[in-house]
Amino acid sequence: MIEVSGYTKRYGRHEAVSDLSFTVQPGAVFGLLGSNGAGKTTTIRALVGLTRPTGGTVRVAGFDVWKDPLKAKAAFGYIPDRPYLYGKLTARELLRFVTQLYQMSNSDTEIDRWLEFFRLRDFGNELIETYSHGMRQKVAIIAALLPDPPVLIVDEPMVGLDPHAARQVRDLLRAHADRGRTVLLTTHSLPLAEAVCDRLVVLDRGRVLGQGTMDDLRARTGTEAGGVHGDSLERIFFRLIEEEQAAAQAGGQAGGQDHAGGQTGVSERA
Amino acid sequence: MSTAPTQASAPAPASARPARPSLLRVKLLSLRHTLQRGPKWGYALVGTLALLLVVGEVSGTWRALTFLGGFGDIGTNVFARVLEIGLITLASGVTFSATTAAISTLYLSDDLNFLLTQPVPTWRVFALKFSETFLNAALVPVFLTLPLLLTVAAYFHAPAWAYPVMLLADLLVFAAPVGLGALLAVALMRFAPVGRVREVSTALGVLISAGLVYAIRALRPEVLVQKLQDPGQVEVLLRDFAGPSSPLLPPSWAAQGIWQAAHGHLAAPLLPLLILTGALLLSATLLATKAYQEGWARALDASTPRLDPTPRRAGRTERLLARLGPGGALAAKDLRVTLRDPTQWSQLLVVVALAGVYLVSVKAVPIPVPQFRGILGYIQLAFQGFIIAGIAVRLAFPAVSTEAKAYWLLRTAPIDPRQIVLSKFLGVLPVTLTVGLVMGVASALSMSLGPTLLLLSVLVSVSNAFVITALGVGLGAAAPKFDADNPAEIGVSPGGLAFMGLSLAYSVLCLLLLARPAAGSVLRPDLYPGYSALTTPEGILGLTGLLVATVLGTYLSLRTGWHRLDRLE
Repeated sequence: MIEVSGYTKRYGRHEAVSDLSFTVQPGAVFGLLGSNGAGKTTTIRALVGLTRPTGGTVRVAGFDVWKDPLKAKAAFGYIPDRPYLYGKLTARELLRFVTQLYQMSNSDTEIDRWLEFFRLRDFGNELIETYSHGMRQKVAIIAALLPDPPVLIVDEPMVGLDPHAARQVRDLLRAHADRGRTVLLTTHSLPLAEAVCDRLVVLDRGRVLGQGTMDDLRARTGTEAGGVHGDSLERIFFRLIEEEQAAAQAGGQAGGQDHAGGQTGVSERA
Repeated sequence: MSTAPTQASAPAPASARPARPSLLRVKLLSLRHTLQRGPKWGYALVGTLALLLVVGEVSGTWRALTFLGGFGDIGTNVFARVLEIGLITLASGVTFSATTAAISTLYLSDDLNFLLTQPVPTWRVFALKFSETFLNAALVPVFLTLPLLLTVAAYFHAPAWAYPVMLLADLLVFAAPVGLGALLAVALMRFAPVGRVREVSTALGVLISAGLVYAIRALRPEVLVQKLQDPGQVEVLLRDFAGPSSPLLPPSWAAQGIWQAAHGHLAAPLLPLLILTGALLLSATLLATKAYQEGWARALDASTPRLDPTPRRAGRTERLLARLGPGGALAAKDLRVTLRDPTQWSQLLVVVALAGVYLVSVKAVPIPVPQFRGILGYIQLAFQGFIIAGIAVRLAFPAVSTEAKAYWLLRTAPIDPRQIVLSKFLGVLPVTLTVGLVMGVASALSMSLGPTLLLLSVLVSVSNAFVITALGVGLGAAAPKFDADNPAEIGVSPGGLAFMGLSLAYSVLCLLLLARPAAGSVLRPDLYPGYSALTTPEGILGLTGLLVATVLGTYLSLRTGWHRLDRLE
């Protein structure tokens, strides 16, 4: 389970994420969507202990990531968008290192199984520095899934993957949640989000534009938008962005007439 | 339905032909941004250290020139020879690191993917990367020598034209090895087996380093000491020493050029230096125009995989260390990565070379008077601290930074920053402790020191190893540099310089703590036979002080490291 409550992140005067709150229950895949700079990766980084929140709390499996980091980190696996790994280790050595960090025992069979699953068995003894981007991404995915964590946190999982591996990962994410575990993912791939996510949050410039299931979002944005028709997530996404831009424009005009207008953007609780 | 941007929102095409972009300007802009966002305390510290260094260097040079000037021309010529030896040593050091630095900057920089796919001539990219290689390999020696050269010029009332000539000679003497390094790098990347380039360049570096060790030994500094003990031989020594030098070495040409410029003459040896450096740079540029892009493409294919589906399991060392928990697993990983990465294991060779030169030199110094031998034997413990600091800046200080961009894996795993820092500390400590103890015991035995000094050597060596290693790991963890290409460049940072300064201060503190009992045992062996100097109140106080300093120094350094690492974003 993931609980984000009033999460705010500021870099100097710039507010990257503002008062974000959401909960992801076990058994669900939760998607964080948004344009570049919306605050998706900043949120993910706070959840995995890479960025300290300026305000609010982030909890994973009941543990505050910043107050009880070891227990929280033992409960999640993390797949980053850029798979920087130790180039001078082989995939097997790296995965073994990960199992040792998580203090797993008898992991060799599991490692072999995962390498076979991603068609990396023949490359398992090769140094990672010889791998392509996609192969490294696969190793990073295995490293996150190997401890079979109760919570999986995924940042842009499909970058660099071939279509076969992309489908495998999509199925894995869904299957992980179906086994009663929690999955949080950010992606720019709206078809992927539509295919695997049970609930979604759409962010823009650090604020929540919309949240809920696909049906909730469809109900809220019933009109054609962004030049895209139909019930697709793409249409919903563009509609939410357009609404935000219209609200910002209206706020700007009102602000121009009345300087005491204050902040016009409303931060929703997801 | 089309979602293409409208004409109004798309950027307008440029109507006028834009000016040719300056790659150097882009780099300088990037450097300016880095400096603006860097830690102000770090700049203040480096500025203070640099100022102290310049003041010390200028006043030391001036005093040396004044003292040697008392012996007339022979005396000042001795200074010229020392200058030449200094330039030879520094240029050899630059040669040692130039090839690996050139490979890192010319072929492994992150921005090459962008630069070499732009409509920019290859030679311009090469020139930019060559400038970066020069800054990486030769900036510190240039900064070290400049105050000295300016002092020499001022001392001899050099004419105004001499200043740019001396500056040019100083730049050329270091540009030549960098040019050679770049030439070798381009040739290696084009013709050496792919995937073995770093190993080959490291082997070259080791050969050059062995040459450097030989050169230093060939200068036989102990002969100076030996002759200086006989006042009758001082003048002979000065005359010999001020005589003809190594006429075939480019740093000698530079030294002659600098020296004569300071005296108002334009020296002929500057011409071959200029021609040699120019030839090296031109050859490297010409070769690069033909082979740079191709070599870069080869560098992207690190090696040919030997596909082997047989699972390779953990070895005995890995299994043993993994039993100690995540910290042990990290130590096993570090050991494996260090032994596989030439940029890391080559640091160990430098360690061995440093310790070897030191031991041989200490053994060769002839000191007939026992008291003087005892005092020198005690003071040389501070020099051992310097050697340990030299080792730690290459092994301990970069220990956390060598995690590089893969650090996210540790940061998001269930391992505490305390475990990370302790694992790094315990991984480096055996090396520094062994080198420290071997140097402490071997130098004490070779100088036939008494039992008290032998014991103090051991204790100070252990204390130095613990505290300096902890300082290195702690400060390295407090200010990690995860984007460095080479561990050698990690030490050249505000944190690295602070570490060196603090390490040297600690070595001196150790000596001061135990100075009273050491002096007692050396100067009054009749009053303090055996270990009795250590049982006096001063002795007990000194030993207690050393213990407290060791425990606190180690703990506080490591604690600072893991606290700062925990706060790192």
